[in-house]
Amino acid sequence: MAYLRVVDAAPIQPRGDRDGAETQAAPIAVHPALLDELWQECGAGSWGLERAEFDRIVLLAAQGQKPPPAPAGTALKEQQGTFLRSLKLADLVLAKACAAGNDRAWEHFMAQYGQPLTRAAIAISGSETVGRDLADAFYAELFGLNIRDGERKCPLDSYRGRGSLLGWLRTTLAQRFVDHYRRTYREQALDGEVHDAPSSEVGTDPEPGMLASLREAVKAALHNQPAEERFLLAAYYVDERTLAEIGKVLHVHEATISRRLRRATDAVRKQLMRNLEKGGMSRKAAEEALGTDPRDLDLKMDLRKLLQSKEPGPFKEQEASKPATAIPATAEDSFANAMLSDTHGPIEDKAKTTG
Amino acid sequence: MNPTIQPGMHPDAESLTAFAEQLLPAAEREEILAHMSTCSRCREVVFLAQQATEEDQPVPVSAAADAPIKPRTSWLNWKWTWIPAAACAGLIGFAVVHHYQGVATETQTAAKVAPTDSLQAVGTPKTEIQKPVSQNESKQTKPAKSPAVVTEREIVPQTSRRDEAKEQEERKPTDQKDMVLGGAAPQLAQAPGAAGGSIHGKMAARAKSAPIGGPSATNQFQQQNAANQQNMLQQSQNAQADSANKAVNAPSVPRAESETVTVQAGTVIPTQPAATPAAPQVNVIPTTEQNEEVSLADAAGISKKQKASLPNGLEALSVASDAGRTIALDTKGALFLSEDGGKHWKPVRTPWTGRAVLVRSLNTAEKGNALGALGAMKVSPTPKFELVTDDLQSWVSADGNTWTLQPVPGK
Repeated sequence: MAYLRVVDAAPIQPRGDRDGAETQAAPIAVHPALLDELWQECGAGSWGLERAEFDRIVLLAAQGQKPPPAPAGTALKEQQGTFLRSLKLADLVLAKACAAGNDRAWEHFMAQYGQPLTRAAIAISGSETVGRDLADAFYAELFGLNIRDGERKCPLDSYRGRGSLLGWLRTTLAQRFVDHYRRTYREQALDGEVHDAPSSEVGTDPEPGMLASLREAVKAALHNQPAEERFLLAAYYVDERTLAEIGKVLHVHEATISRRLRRATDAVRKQLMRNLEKGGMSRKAAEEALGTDPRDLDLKMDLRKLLQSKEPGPFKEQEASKPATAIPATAEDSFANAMLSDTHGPIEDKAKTTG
Repeated sequence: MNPTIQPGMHPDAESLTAFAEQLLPAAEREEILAHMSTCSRCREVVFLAQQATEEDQPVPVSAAADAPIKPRTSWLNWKWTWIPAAACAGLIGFAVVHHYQGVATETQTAAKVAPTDSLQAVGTPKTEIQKPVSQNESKQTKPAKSPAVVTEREIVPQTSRRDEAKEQEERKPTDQKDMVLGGAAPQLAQAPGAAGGSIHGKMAARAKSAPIGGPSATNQFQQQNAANQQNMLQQSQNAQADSANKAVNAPSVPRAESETVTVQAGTVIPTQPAATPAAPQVNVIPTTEQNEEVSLADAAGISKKQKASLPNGLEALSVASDAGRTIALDTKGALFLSEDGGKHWKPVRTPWTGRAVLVRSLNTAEKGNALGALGAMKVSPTPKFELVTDDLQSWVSADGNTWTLQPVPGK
């Protein structure tokens, strides 16, 4: 509090940061009263964080405000308070303190997130052994054992407090697991199935003209769908996620997901018909094309490319490194059937249908 | 800060976490969704993180599942049963109240009709009711269910209860008083078909329940009733004034317990004097409870079984007997005469145009008026019958064969 009284006359300026880049852009001032309130609300003092360190972290966080905060002395306290309170400030302070090598912060971090992190790793990997290995590797990474360019790098330093720290840890763990899997799955022996392998029958399609028209029509139809509908279609038909899984990610009921999937499928099919007719195909021929068994047309690879190539740039690498188990061979069949079939049954949860 | 997702880049863990926790603004969420719709890696990351979140929070669920489920006690299971129980009780209560209200309405209707009928019933035949001697007696002879009988059933016990209470207090003499005063009003209030005691009363009742003569007949009776209102009031006053005399006379008449009596409601029609010269010393006010006579069927010695054995096979609608002659009307209005107490019948030619609905013996009525108090139910050697048709014509006959039209009173 004595520190605050000293700096009460002038807004607090962030001191020099290790990175330097964040603080050099524009000097940010935070109202001292707001800092007091946030300090009380954060409770970081309970695990031994110093007030000066807290002020430094908060000032660095304030630099991430959009739109950028006003120059020193002109930013309203309410605006800053609204922005800073929208962050998970307690988690942010803990993460930044850990990244800075604060021992008390690490103790608090391990006490609070040690077990949940291990459980999350086990859940993500599906194996306790793999999960513990994953968790241990991630702990080492968090401790900053990785040194890049002579500097100790801690992933916690990239945490900005937009979501919960535990959620961020889980997501980061999942990223590590997926990336590791994608790097190593090609090294594993194939279990008798060929995934994503070029079909030997590609190019033997007796009607390449119709297939090309169908491909373009599907691409255009998917392109016209909203992003969330495309995500639903991809998660359900390509990833073969269950309605419940999709519903939990989107925080809606699985019945809602089913209805939206049905609507999206119908909309894509109608758009597909229009696109085929626009492409010079008669309605009868378009219906025949939609009624064609996608297995006969070997639409699998094309559908995958269509779904993954809306933005061709970002995903070229991914196509080459897709996990084989993530997209079974039958996923494209189910999606193609949904798109091309005349009969649209109710969208069912795979978990229920598969028992 | 969430920089726009550049081609070749994936959203960082921060954005994906915020997306999974629904903390992103709409625009940024759309951006993430658009990326994830084409990026299986980010979809995989998000679904795996969500899976880890779900599996990291099974404690509350398992704790709730492992928690012993307390069996609900019986009273807790039945705590909402008061709703249907109350509904059932309400329905039953409503049905009971509705039932008694309907009975009360019928009683009121009968009470409204009975006085007017009694005005019309001056010197006219009576109808059968149960003798209101005691509650037990009224219970012994239960009439068939009909609105009028129901009314009688509802009224008689009340009167009987009141009589019983008074009987316990003052046994003998006051009992007669109750017979006169207490029993008079209910009997007057009874339905005309049951207690009206007059041909016109019966006619009015039939016109009301089964309108043989139609609405015009009812109106005609109402006009006649209005014309006799003054007489009715006067008769009621006289009945109260002379109750002492009746109290003396009434108990002197010995009756069997199961005796069925006919109450003559009144004899105030000017055309027919109330008291005959044969009994001038008896100052009898012809109120209902006093002018009792043997029912027509009993007087003729015809049981109900005999009633149904008319030559045409129909049931006798009305029977009158006098001086060994018995006349009977069947339900179609045909008239039959019997000179051997109902064993053999012969049809009688009917001069009237309408349908005969009631016959009675005038001698019985007159004697009942005069001698009823004395219990002398002797039959006059000269028969005299009266017959009423549904168009309100009154016919009289001395032998049951030859009928003469009588002028309607007041016309």
